[in-house]
Amino acid sequence: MKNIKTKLLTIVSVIGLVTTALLFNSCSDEATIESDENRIVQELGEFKKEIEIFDKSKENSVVLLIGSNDISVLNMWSAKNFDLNIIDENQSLEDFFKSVNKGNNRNATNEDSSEEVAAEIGYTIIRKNINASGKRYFLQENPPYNEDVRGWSYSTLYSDADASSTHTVTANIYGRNAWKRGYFGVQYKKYSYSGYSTIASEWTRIKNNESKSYTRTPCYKMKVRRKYKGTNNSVVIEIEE
Amino acid sequence: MKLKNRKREINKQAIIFRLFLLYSMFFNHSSVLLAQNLEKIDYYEAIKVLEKTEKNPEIPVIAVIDGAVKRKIFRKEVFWKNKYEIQNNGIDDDGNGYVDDYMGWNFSNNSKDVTNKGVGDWHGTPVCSIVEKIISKSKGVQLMNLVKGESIHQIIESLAYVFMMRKAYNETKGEKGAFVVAVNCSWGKNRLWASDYPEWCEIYNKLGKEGVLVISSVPNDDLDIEKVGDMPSTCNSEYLITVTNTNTKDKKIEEAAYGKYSVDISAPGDKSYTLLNTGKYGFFGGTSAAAPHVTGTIGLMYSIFLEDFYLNIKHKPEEVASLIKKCIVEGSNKIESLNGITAFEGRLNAFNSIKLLFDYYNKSSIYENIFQQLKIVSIYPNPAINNVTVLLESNEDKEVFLDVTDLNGRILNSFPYFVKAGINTIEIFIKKGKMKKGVYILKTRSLSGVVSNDKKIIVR
Repeated sequence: MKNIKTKLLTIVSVIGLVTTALLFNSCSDEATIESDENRIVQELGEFKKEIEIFDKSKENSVVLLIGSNDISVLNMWSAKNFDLNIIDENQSLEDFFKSVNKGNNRNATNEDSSEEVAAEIGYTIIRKNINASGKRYFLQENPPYNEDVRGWSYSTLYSDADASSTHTVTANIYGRNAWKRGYFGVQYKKYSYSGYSTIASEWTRIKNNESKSYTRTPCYKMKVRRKYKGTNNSVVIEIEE
Repeated sequence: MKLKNRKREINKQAIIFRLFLLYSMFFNHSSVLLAQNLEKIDYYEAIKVLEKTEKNPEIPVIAVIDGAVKRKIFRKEVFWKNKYEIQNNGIDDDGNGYVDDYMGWNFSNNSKDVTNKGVGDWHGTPVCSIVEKIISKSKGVQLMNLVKGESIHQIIESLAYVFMMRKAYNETKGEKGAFVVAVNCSWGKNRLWASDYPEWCEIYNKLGKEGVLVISSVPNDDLDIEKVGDMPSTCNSEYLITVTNTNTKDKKIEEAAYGKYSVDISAPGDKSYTLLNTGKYGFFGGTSAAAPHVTGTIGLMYSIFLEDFYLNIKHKPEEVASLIKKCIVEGSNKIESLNGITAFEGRLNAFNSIKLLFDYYNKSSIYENIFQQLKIVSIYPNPAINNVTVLLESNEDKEVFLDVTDLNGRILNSFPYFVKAGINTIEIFIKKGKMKKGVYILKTRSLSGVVSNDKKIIVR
């Protein structure tokens, strides 16, 4: 009697498993997309919020999803800590900043490499409303940290995640502060199932008025991390895709 | 049926064993990272001496002027509480001008909230956690949280609060105020000169006269303070200790300021693995992480009871503050990377500083015979994969062999080392020693035949 019960239980379990497997298989694409989105959101940090940023004309805007593992850090960031700049399609960041502000050049080599993780935010643009034709946009950070404290802070900008084989992502990096050093690192995922590969290692020094550009195709996702002190915004990052 | 149960039992044990291994690997990894910077300042030797001394009956307090602190992730008893103030009654019970300053004071918004409504601050919490780690094995040192204001007026006000509390303590023989011995300031204002801020500099002298030292971080920039200025580094006070940043290889971090007269010593702040404001362990660096190593060490020194030292703290607090600073700077290890660019050209050494304090009070016997002839203090990580670190205690400088044996005592490998009196860190590279997976026994022996205790190690 006991044996029959056990056999019946086994058969029911097997049927259950097969049915569940078939069910999951039938909607595998959607499941993958959903889990990818979850993964991207998780990468930003434990705590998250949306911020809408307008350019000076108030005609263009983007919405960021910004996150951090430290709620006190996330609380410090708001729309006033970002500038949305609209530039001509063919204009470089270097040309844009040269026209805005001419700085002098005082550089040194960087041999420091570090992994500190205090004060880090991650963000990605989730919606945009750019009305100007023939123009592109980039965000400039104005970090909210106290200038007096003597530790480092970090931020990471993520591109969109796109699994198409033609998805091209370019990270343009520009150094724009003569007095405060800026460091960055670039990584990308070729496919949705790949791990991150390093394009520019942490921490690569960017000098004043220096431009660097990294392009990858196919590129599922790219991230650019920067390291700074206080209110320093010496590293400007634009992700084109 | 019995066989099935046995298999199930074995499977269960295998899962538990794997989970234990994972836990051990994680725990040991954290321990290694935590230990690195402390080893550099001979912290373990300092603790060994502390274990041999009596406890100061008065609990020393370290004030940390910084961001808010997520206090709930620390042990409760580490925080100072103003016992002369009744919490949240809206009355200035101790009459010090601050209402409900039970846990400290927030000078950025002039309130009693030192925790930022419980969420803390990315900088305040790790600075506190480095000091806390160092004093955790003391005989009782507490932390006072004061949240820093941005303006110079607010900065002076926060330092004046400490002055007032210690002065009250001294004048009432401990009936009021707080026994603050040091203030940690992992911040400063770049490119300012002491000559423009006499009131700010004067507060350090006033604090020193009451027996309080201030420990301050220099900027995270490769620049000479004497050429560009910095506050408070350029203040000429006997009671101010300015600290730059070195790594565990005793190299000055490129992004750390220096100054032949304005910067006293360095501490290994780089890549300090400590409790972050997220509640998790992670890296925190910069000169902000260097200063708390010095501040914590001063806390350890004040937690020691020596009769004359105790009486001097009561009656000559100013002299004691000078003495402690002298022990800190003169006890530092001279390092090449600071040659000619800092006042004392050395990196903090907690053990040396404590020894100098004992020497001053003619109590060198306390530390002279504390180390055993040969003793393996600890081994980590254990289980190990690539390399293993052995903390080995020795009472004198000598040559030793570190033997690796099997469980039957057969020597499989023997590594010669020269060890110094104190606690030595020895690293064994498992692949180089051709140690395969298994359980081994480590022990040491000297040429004169002294044999240490043994310790088991698992190689994975």
